[in-house]
Amino acid sequence: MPTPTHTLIEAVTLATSASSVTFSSIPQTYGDLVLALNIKPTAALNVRLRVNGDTGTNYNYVVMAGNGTAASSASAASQDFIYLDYTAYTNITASVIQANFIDYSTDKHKSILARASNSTTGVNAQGIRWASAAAITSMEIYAISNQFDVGSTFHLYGIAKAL
Amino acid sequence: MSLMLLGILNSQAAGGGGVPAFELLATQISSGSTSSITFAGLNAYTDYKHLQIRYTVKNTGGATDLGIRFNGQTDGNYHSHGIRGTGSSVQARSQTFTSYVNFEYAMASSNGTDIFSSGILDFLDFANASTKPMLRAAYGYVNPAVFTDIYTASGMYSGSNQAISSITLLTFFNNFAANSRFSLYGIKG
Repeated sequence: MPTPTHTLIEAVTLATSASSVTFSSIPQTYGDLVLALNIKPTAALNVRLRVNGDTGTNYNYVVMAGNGTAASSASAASQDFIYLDYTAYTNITASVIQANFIDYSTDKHKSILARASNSTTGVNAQGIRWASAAAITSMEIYAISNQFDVGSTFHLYGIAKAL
Repeated sequence: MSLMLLGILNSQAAGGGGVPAFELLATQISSGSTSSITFAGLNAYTDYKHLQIRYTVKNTGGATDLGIRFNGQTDGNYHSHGIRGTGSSVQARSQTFTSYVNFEYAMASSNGTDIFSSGILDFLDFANASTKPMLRAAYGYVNPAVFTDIYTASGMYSGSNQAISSITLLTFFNNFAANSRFSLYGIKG
């Protein structure tokens, strides 16, 4: 029998501006997670991610981006956080971001495929690896400068892998 | 489920009505001794308009390509296009008239026990018998000890128009490593 999935785990809509949102106690009953963000900034900002409160240098990424005039690609290893929007940073207009966390509850390193779009700064696609065999139980989406403005939304979904 | 914030916000719990539109149909996990997996009998999934495969995969040997075939056809009428970010440049890639849709560098190497590549494959309107079988893909591999890549890609079979009744994913070198996982989903429309 098919298993209905893409199940909403938690939804957040900001009623006041905030510098971070954390989803904690993430259920371990799914195969993948999907994070969907609609970020309205108080002023220009980048959207950062950490999982399980890990501030160690365990994040690696590769990104390709377009800003309307040029395409580019960059990569880095051993970062202590990950940008979810990278060059498609959130500026004036809202950015929409979707990130897929594949096999988040297994003992594999966690693979994340993300897309970010902003109508003034550009678009990008990104591959991320969190170099940890620990299951993802929480994630923090945060900004260093400025804040996520009122009306920004954060949705976390679970996708089953076992019938 | 708990939630922590540095601001004040509204939060709504999970739930909501409506008919479920995204459903898990099957999962296959490699034991490490197979070079292909097939999702067959797709013509029976008449409740669905689109299919999606979500995977994590690695090879038992070196990093290599992921091949895809429709309906068991092995002739040279497959094509693929992609945009590749290597970490230092963006490249336009294509392969034409191959014997499988060739998603290059989509499969992690055996380097790094826990390091897998991942991807999401969408088969839109898969049961349409009036068009060529096709798919779109997003996949990536981040292992600086080998290489890093992020792709958006597409593939198609340019033979006769036909519905997709089976999808085979394969490696032409070695096998899918143990715990490579392929899950098939149906999306109603």
